[in-house]
Amino acid sequence: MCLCYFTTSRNVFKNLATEEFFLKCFENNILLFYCNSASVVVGRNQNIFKEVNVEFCGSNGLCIARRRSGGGCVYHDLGNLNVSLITTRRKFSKTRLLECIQSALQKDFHIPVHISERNDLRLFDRKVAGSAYRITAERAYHHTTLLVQADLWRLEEALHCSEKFTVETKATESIRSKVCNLTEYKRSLHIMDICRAISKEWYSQSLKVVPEQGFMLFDNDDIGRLSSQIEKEYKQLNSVQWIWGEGPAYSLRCHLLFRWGFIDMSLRVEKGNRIIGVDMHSASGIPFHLRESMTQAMIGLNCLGNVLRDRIIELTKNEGKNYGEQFQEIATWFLSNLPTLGNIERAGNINIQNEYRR
Amino acid sequence: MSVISKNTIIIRNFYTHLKNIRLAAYGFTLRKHDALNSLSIAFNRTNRTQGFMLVPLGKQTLQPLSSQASKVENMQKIPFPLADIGEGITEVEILRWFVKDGQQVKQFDKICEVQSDKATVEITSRYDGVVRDVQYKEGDIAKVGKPLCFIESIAAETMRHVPETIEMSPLANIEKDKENAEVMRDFEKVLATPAVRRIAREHKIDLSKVPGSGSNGRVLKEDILAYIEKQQVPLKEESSSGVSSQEEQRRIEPIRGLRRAMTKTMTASLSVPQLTLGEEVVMDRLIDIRSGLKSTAEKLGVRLTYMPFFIKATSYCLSRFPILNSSVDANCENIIYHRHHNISIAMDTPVGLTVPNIKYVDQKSILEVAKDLQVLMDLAEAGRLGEEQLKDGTFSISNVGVISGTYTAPVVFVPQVAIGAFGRTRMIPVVDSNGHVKTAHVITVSWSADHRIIDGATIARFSKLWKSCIEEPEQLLLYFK
Repeated sequence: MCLCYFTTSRNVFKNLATEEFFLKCFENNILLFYCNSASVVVGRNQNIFKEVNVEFCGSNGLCIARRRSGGGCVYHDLGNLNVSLITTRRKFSKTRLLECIQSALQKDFHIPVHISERNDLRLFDRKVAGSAYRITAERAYHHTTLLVQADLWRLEEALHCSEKFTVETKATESIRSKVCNLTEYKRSLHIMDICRAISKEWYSQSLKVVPEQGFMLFDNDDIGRLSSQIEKEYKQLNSVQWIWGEGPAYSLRCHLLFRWGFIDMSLRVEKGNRIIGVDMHSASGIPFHLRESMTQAMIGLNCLGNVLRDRIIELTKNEGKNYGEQFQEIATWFLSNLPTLGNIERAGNINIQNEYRR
Repeated sequence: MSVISKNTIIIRNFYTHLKNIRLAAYGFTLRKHDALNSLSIAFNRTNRTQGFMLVPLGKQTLQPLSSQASKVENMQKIPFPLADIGEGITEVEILRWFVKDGQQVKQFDKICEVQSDKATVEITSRYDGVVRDVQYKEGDIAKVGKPLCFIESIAAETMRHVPETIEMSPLANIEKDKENAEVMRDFEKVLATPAVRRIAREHKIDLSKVPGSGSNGRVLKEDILAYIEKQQVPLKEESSSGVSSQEEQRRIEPIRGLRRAMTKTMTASLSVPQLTLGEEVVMDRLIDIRSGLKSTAEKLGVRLTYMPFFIKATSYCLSRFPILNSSVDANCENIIYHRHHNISIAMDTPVGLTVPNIKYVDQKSILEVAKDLQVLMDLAEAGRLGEEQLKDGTFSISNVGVISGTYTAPVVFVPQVAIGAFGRTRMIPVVDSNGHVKTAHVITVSWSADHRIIDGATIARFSKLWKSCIEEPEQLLLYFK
């Protein structure tokens, strides 16, 4: 039995939770379509600061989400169609879905996309779709995002690393490619038409009789009503701990130039965003006690969120006078440039855990 | 007749415990096993095809064998290797562990999550038992085939037939799984009754390949009969597979015979540092000479190509540079100068590359060399080259240009120290000594030599002399004895 669904929700977390639900709790092969409102989705093992422009996302209302499959960072919006083929592990193939999409686009719209070696779909030399996979004990999925009529300017702005810090990490790096929309090749494309074409093609490949109705709508707007499992998954995907804390350890390096000299500072952060080390070097010399006290203050704190900000403000108030203007300047820089959850909070649906507010 | 209650359990574990039992047609003996003191066992005599049916009377529950931890000899630390994912992937990154050392796991519990090239994979446990000796930390790179951790468990008895969904890639070639199969062979036993096994034996079928539809993956009679039928009917490709079987796109051929010899020789040549020198030689004069001599040679029954000229010119040059006609011994301590020039000719035969040689070229005329060459070629085509023709070559020549190719970097044929390869003869524009452009037939020659004893200057001078022999063949008249 093959099923073809299009979800009604536009929320990235709800859709990802639905995909995981279809993976874990079903036994049929399912072709799932969904569209998300403006958001950025990073791969399982990526570092958000390295891949995403967090300030841009915050100020433009883009959600940042982390998916469960691997691969690189992608931009989603309503002009972007996500297709996911969920099958049993035995039937898993890295290219089956792409071949299906390719033949659908070719037959119905005469768009000559080709599959590249890295399992992308490319139109001439421009990427129109990327791939990612997740394999569990009995089931597996391959999902891809198809750029139909997405906002490429926002894509470019959102998907580059934060300029304030250099991030060093063993996290998966995204491979940048030039992209284009399918509508640049054929003006009158509509997402629903593409869905119908892909589902028809898939049915014809897997069943003898193609059902009249291409795909069915799956209502996942009201998550709570559907199943406790989807809800649990939704809560996990929507948590700060998963989105920000699941990447591997990293260090934030910055080179700060002041009137009196410069400092090279490096914050070593472990998985979960706890600072485990602070290194400060300066050719112009930093007073030892200044370095010590800053290090002591920061170690063990979470580098995101308000905790660190508050600590630095406290330090400035209490002991700032002792360390002179050097300290004041460094502290000011930190306060204005540290990534805070305040920024992120404005971006979409994130429930802040109390821990980060302490 | 024994009473089969509702609570009849077919207990596979007892197979091995009862291996001392001889299944006679009408009788049996039972050996009471320590672990089952609390049970009485009844054997269903009538239903032999079903195997044993062990009916627990009295106490209902059978103590799970894994609780027999006191029996130390049963507990083994089984390595749990990282299974092959396919697609040539040899290592993955560990993203997250779901278990710790000392944690109890059941089959299909999550062990860890790994990532390789855009795919995140959840690895689940193959066995029931206790996790021991976790080999990697989060963030480490794990190699395929090496153990991820060890699982302490009772061997064999508690191993259930591993369902095929555990295979990472449905397209996995059997050869790829060999390493895993060797680890798993001792722990996997296919469930099947003796009758089913007999059918498998008669038809020479490997039971582990037959999908079992009984409980715990047991292979039933219907399964094996269906498998036999499937074997006889040629399999039609499923219409649903955009997934075409990779096994049909590859063919495995063992390396044997001449090809194996070539493999061995080339591998030996790897240890020799080789220097290559290329040269372009104008062939016009030689072409004229040969065409003039061709008819005479044919009257004598000899096919005169350029090769005899090349071979003889090489021989003359070797007499001027004897170091190129030598060999190096195994430890590179001595250079052995050969007295005679036995020029090996590389030949492409239907069964592969062979290199027979013409003996004593230094004492033969061009005509004799041509005759010998023809004989060798006939023998090679017939596949009748013997040891005598193949051994004791001192210098090699390859005329690969007759097929195609201009520039080559031939590989020295150990234990010789030099080799020459000729490319195609091309008509290209050349500039003569007066600065005028004209066309000429040019052949490219590439010499390779063992750089341990031959330096660039030697091979360059050799090449220069050879070039002059070919470009002005009249000079040879002065030299030949």
